[in-house]
Amino acid sequence: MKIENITKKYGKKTVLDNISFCFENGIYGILGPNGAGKTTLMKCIIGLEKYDGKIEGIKKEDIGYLPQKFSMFRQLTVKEAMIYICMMKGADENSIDDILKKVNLLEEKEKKIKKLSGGMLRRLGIAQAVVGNPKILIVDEPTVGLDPKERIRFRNLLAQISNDRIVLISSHIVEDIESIANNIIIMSEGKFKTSGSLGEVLSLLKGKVGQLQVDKNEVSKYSEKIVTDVNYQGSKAVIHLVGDELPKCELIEPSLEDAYFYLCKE
Amino acid sequence: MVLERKIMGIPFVIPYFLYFILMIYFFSIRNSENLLGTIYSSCEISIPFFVVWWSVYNLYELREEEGGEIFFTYPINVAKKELSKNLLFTCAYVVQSSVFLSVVTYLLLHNVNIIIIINISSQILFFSALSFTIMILIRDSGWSAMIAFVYVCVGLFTYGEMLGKTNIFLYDYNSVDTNLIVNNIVKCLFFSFVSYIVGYILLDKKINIR
Repeated sequence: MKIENITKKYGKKTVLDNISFCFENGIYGILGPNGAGKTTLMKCIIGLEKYDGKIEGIKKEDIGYLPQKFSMFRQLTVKEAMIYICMMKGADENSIDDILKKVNLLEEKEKKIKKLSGGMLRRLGIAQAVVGNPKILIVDEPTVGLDPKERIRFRNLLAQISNDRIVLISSHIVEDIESIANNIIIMSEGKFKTSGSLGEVLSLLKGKVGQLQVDKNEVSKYSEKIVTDVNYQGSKAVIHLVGDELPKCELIEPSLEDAYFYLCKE
Repeated sequence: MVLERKIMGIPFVIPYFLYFILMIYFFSIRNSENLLGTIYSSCEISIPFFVVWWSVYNLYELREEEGGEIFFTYPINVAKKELSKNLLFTCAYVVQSSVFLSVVTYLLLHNVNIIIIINISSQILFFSALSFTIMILIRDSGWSAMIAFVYVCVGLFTYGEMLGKTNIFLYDYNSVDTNLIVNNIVKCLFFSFVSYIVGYILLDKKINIR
């Protein structure tokens, strides 16, 4: 799938600013703050939003989509909902049990959707997205609102179903992207700030991340623009710094969170 | 159809309550004068309007709900599907309403007037098409039903005067002739056709943006 010069404006506000990218099979994690344009980009790819530019190599039947806020007919059972989706996608109803097994919902298939927990509902969301075996799976903020255990479970599930297809996951939760994506895109203000493997993204920050032990009352001397974390230890504090011009400090290995902070700061 | 019915939930059974209430009412006044006129007048005000429950609530995919955009991502022609579904439900409603009217008038008066039944069927089509288009425009089931309800109220309280040429009610079935009924049927069919076309185009434009 290739996107070329995608621009999207709402009135005078540019939400996507001339984005071009080529996606190949693999898991792409789009990381960016709220308002970066992640959801809008996904909606443009799916065809839910108009845009300027070109998107190639994609048809409607190639896409499976799980929106940020997923809902399904509450009065239906899981199985009935899946039958309905199979009808909508023109997919084989015999695949329902296999898909439900994959997302660990087989035992709940006779349960009404209104009785599912938040985690189960997200898994049903993934189940409906993979009906018809789409070549491109687009998942928007998949772990928002899930408890830690369900988040880990969901991340594992995404990793399992990602074989031989393009999976696009957007999130502002660094840990989620770091653990599942093999290609990372950091997005801010409607632009791709960087993209590549975790190693490639982190290499941008060589020599730009450090830590420094200071007195507790000296913390405020350091600009908020370079301080990403402060760890208080008695009268001392260890501050974590990211930036082009650091004060004299001990340089450390960067993390994806540092890259996110560095590339998405104003 | 079974799934569609289940998805619609309670609104699906509401028209059946109407038939039940009308049936009780008509039997309770079976000895009154102008019974036939009363039956047709009551039915043209209530039965066509109640198709709105089916017409609007079977467009559940269009309701403005969180995550509702998902239905527009499936590889089917949503506009075509919604229109077919609406027409199918409307046909079912027309058939069952015609049967209801025929049974009631036959049981009470041994009289079945086909042309009046066709007239009420065309009024059903009018309301179904109207609510279909309004639903596509505002994507809110409650408000779509409310607008149709306002049409009925205005028609009822102003005796059709405020509705002008768009009035589809005949009101007094004791004094209407066949020509007037045929004209009304043509008018209902025309408005329904225009309304469905407008609704379909709007929906298709909304969905197929690429």
